[in-house]
Amino acid sequence: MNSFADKAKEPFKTALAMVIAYGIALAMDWGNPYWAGFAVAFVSLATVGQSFNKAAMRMFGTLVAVVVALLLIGLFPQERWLFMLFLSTYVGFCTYLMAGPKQQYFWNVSGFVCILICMSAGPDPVNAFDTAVLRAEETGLGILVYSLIAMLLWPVSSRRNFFATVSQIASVQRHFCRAGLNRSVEGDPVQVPALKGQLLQAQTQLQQLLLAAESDTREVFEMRRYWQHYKEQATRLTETIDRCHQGLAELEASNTPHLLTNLDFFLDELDARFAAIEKILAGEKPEQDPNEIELVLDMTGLQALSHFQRAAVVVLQERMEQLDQLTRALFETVSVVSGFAEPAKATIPRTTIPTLQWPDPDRMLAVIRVMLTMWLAYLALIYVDSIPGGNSFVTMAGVFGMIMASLPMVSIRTIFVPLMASVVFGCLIYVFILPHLSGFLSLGSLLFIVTFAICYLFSSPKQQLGRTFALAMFVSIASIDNQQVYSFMVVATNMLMFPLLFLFLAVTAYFPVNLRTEKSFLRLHERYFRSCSELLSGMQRDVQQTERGYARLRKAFQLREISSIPAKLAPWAKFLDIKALPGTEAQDVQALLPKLQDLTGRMKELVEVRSVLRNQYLISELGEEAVSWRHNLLEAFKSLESAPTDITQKHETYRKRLDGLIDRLETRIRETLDRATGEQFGKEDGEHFYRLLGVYRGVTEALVGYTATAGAIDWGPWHEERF
Amino acid sequence: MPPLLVAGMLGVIIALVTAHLLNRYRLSRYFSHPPLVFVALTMIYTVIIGTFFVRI
Repeated sequence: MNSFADKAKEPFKTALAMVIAYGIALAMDWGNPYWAGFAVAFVSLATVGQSFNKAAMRMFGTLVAVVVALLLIGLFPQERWLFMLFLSTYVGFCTYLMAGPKQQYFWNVSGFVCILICMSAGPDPVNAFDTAVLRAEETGLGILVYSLIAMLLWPVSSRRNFFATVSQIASVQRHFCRAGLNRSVEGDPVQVPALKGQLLQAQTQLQQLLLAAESDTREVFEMRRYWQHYKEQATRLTETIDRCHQGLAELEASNTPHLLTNLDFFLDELDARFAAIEKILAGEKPEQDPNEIELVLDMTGLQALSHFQRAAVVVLQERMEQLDQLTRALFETVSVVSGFAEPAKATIPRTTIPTLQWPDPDRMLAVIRVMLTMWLAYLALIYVDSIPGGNSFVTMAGVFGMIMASLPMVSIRTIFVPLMASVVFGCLIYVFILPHLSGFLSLGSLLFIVTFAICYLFSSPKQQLGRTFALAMFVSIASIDNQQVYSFMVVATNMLMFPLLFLFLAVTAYFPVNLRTEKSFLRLHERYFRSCSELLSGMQRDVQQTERGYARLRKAFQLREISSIPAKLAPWAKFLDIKALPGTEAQDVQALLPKLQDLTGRMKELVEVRSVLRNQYLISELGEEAVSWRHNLLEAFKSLESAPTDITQKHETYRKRLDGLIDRLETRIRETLDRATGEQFGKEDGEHFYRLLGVYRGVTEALVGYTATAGAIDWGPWHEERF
Repeated sequence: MPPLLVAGMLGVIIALVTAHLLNRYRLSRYFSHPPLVFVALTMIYTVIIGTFFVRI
């Protein structure tokens, strides 16, 4: 009984808000009162904060869309081609920004409301202003009604979930650090990836929860800049723990001692800091500030190691020092947000002004797809007589084009089936129930029952799509108005319009770019290795030449590509049609992703270290061997771009060739260092140099590791052309 | 329903079925750019249906 009551609260609130919003819109005799219903249906989320955020984005998106739509209608009243060109360009612009990291819903609403107003008011410009204002008014009404109900009736704050997630991150980071670094005590190799997975999931949730908590929790709102800072620090800390774990594992694999004489003491101090952070988050005052610790290297032991082993030890020491700084900074930030320290103690980095960036190819592809879908629908509207839906056909093409562009890995069939089921459901209510109703009492009861039933039956997050479609189709097909008219044409139009629309979407999924999952996976794979080779080939021997303009833009783009592609590949890997790819197992494809992430980390380190090593003597002395290493790596990257079928043989070749190169480089280093004098080679140069060597080896190992994993997949069927 | 629309819809549907069958029997590997073939198939089917069946 209790579970029913808990589960029924949210549907009850949505249903009540829907009835009230319709009631007010009908009482005010506003046209299209279902626009208010739409606003209620789409802003209702699990907590007050989440709903407020979505409501604010919907409202602001609508206001921006109103201005843009009126501008377009005013500028091109008799120019249908220019009108569509600018409208589709604006929708493309919104689609591009919708795929970005911030305000996705704002851009989505701004795009589709603009199409809606333009297509409703464009052919009737005399009433354009009224239509636009009505849309804004009714959206505002729906949002206001739902917000009031969400605040007054069983308000669910994001506070509890937010603080629970923050505490979970602190606790899992502590365990991750223990399991990953304290190898003699809890070195369980299976536990580490699981803890890392938990952390990544919690960090993703934190982003959403922080936005929601800023809206409905006063103490989070007041400290929002520090919480944002905490989120970034926590993410960096997870990455650094992971890198330290990898560094230790590599040393162990090559039987190299870590030579950090006080590592146990250091790890105990880290553990104490994590414990203190957990306590602060639980509301307890910290007993003392973090202790100062300096990692000490056993210099005698270091002299006995080979240069590459020394490099690995130096790299590990540097990572551990980063860990020290990050945990200290996190401790300070957590103390400030919990009110145990003055805000001045934690330094927040200044907000940087966004710089010009090279466009993201995937987001550009989404833009092309949306624009093409809209143009196909518009041409059909103009050249095909009596197309089902008329102007709404173009509106729907834009709306669904934007949805499909943001989820390119989802097949048309996955969306089409629940949508058509929702259309049939809406049509059944329209034909068999609505005509029998009279007065608002019966209409309100129907609205309440249907909304409640849909929200209750589709309440889990996985069923979000079904719930959205069902509510949207019910509200739009019912088209409730004060002068209600019933016509079979409404049913026939909807039943014909959506299949036709999905045919257009199917065409844009094939043309101009085939969006089959394996082809998209290969395209991303190719871009990844192309970016790696471009980064590598861009490393000039003389780093004293600073990069400018175009070169800097390209380098930033390549770095963004290698950082983002492993994450982009994950959803494509999930939706792969494994049956069509004999010789491929889903787990083998999944195993590729951490290998690529590893390679990304190494490549980024290489770029970073290479840009700080400025000792001309070392650069010229090692020039030939380093260039040879780079050429071999470039060749490997270039051949991997196309995911070759003979990757297993290549793995053996790379292993041998790169091992040979590393040996030659080692000899060369020994000779160079023996010849070097104190003037030619300072302490700082030495550190950078060892870091560089460590990273050279790291990149090589990561690449060889990747080829070993990729060798388990038969890439032949992936390259076969398919529709 | 406008005849061009009917012919076009049927053209796309038959092209989709053809594409599915070509995939099923691994015949699509003989095309160098299947998306373009798909558009060509749609046009051919639309013209055939429009000429012989729907009369556009």
